[in-house]
Amino acid sequence: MFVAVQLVRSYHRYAHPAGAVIVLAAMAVWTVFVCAVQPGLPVFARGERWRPGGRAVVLAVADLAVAITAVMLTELVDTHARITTGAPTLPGSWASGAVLGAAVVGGARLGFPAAILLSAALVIERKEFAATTMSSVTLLILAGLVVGYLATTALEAEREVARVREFEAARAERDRLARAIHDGALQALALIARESTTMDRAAIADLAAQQEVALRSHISAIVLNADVQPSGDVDVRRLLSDLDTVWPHRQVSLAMPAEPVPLPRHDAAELTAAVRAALDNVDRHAGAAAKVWVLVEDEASAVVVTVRDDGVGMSPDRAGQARAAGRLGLATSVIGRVRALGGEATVTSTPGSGVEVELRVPRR
Amino acid sequence: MSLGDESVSAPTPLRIVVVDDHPIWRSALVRDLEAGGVTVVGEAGSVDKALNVIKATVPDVVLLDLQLSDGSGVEVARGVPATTHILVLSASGEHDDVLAAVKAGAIGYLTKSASAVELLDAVRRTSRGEAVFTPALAGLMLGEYRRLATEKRGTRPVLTERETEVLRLVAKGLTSRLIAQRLVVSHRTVENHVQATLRKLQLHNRVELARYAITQGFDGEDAG
Repeated sequence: MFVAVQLVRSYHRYAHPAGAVIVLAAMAVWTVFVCAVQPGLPVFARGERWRPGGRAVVLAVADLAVAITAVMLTELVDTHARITTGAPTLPGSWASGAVLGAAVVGGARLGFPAAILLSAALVIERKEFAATTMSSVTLLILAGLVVGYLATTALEAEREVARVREFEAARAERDRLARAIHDGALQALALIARESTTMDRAAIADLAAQQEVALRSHISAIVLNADVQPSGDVDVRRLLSDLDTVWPHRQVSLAMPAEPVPLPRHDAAELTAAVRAALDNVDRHAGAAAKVWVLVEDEASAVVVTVRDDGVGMSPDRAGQARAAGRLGLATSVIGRVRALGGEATVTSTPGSGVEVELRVPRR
Repeated sequence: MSLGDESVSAPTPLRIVVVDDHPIWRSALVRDLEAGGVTVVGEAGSVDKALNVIKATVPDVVLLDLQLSDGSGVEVARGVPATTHILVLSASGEHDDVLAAVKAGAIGYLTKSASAVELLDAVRRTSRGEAVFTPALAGLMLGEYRRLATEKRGTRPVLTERETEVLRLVAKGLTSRLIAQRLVVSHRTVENHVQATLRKLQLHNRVELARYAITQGFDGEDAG
């Protein structure tokens, strides 16, 4: 804007006013292009990882080339007298944006050379070291260094925070497992050691079998824990892997892929909560002997979890009756949760052959 | 019906090799199997020993643990002759190994929490060449087919809609009798669909191995 006003005010003083207008128009188009493309490039992508050398750097370098070209073109459209007396170059302060951009994208390592290059262009264009040129050069170099330093520091800090958070999560998980093993397997072993002479053999076998299942699922939780998703997503399998210990009184069979099933943290937590609510529903209605099967499937566009039991089942309109009677269990805690994620839940049942709840959560 | 008649008219006991690196667990397995009328012709706790014992005894079935003292049971599965059927008996959570063993030719999978009755039933079915699928294995196979479908390179094994449907029902814990009822087909047809899902994966694995061997071979010639 400033440059355009400047141009209008001194339109007649340019040697080739039409040329100046063309250069300005090109600058305007380039500015719009950069603004449109830049946000999509992974400079601060999700605040996760900083990747110099990506397309953001290419864009920064291109931006610098355009700025330098615009500075050099001043010579073609302006009179020599105006240039040497220190009149502003065609792009004026617009050109310094390229240095700032390079500094943000590549730190001082990219900002400093960018400042030097643009300064060289300014000096060459003016063909002398005027006082105004020198102050521009000083400001450019300072800006390249300082902004570059700040950008690098900010990114470092952000990565540090992410590392600490990851470490905290790992420690919390370790504590949880230690607690679970202590409360479960260790207690049971101690009990068997002390009471085995007086204890019923079947009771010992039961205790051992229970703790075996629990330990196995802890171990698979540790194994799955190693698959931290680089995108910051959570592996749904990991959140569901301890279902068989959460429901020790019921036989829960888990079927899932060998590969991680990533979902954004919030979606994964809500889906897990919905699955648990579906299991609660089995506890309330399916009968004590009912078994449960949980299937996790990773379709390209959605994650599908199916909870099936072989209990007493329900008539097609029972969910409706339950809602009318004020029992909102399945409706809100399962169906509502999944719908809130943009997904859908299907409940199918025939009396006598259990209930099947299919939860489909789309990848957004 | 015909299966029942066969087992009556064929009294030769089933011959099995038990591969597990835990001696106490192994002897418990052997005891259960012998009590169920199965002849244990060999035992092993390591990959090397297992391959030797299997070669020497040529059993009907190998009961295979995946965690062995000197490596993975997958290596054993790769070295077992085609006439011997493999039933994997492993701790849950070894997802990748279970898939690898199935690709290498195992036709059954059972977790170690299975009861003696379930184990004997699975061993008998395996000896007849029937696939022994747990819901967990069906879930792994569904995942593997989906993963292969996203791969760009080479030929991919593709399940028919019916096969996918059957695999999903197995993963959701339905027995083949219930699946046959629900899809209004015969029990035999369900078994065939399940077998087909296994066969396609194993065939694909052999093709991939051959392809790999060929490209490696050509590369070797180029280098030399």
